[in-house]
Amino acid sequence: MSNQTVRSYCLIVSIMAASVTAIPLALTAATMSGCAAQKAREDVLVPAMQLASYGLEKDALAGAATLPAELQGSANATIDAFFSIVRGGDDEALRQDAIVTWGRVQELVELGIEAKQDANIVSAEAAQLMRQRARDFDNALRAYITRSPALLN
Amino acid sequence: MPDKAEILKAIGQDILTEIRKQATDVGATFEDSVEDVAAFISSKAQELSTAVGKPGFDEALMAARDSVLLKAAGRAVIEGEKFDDILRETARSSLAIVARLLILL
Repeated sequence: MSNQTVRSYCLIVSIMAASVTAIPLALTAATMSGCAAQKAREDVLVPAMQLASYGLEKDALAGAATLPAELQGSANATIDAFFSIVRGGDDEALRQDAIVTWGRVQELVELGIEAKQDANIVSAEAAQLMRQRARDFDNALRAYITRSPALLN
Repeated sequence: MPDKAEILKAIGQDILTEIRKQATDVGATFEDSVEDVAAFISSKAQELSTAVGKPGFDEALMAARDSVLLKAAGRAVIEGEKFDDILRETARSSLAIVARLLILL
């Protein structure tokens, strides 16, 4: 066997060996890519949102109670629908429906906090923390749906 | 009976210790997030201390707890995205290596 043939043979063997290492690495990485963030969304972010939903719902209901009687039914239905989605934790419902109704629920939360503060049920300091929770929830919901720049704020 | 603000601080410390442990297990990559969450817990405890003895303290305590958990969960997503980016880059460079090798054949 000539030196040229031996060198070609060695090159092919080296390439095959390198491919054997690189291809599974690429496939594994490609398969796993996207899993970590999604797992964090499902296993950590959604439960945190579900826990926060109870306090937010109380604020939103307090806000709905300040509306004229003819609007309260619709506001309560919106609140009920929104928090059912959050507690259900269904990915599609969170992505498609929750974000649509959240804007209205967030307004009701703010109304509720104002009403509680006006009635001296909560202090200005407590109200500030409650408003911050609503903002943090807003960031969390947006981070669930898209990549998470909102969470860096 | 322990003060509620103290209890929150203690819970915050436990969360912090756990995050630090996880960060140590994984490597130093998560240190920014740990510090970020630690600072957030500290600021919440500070804000909460201004609400002690005033109306609605229980609601404030619950809101602070929720905010801390939402913040920590948010950082977990960010770290997950960073990890995904590393994997994506690994996949890209590995495929580039394979492509270069195949050209040689």
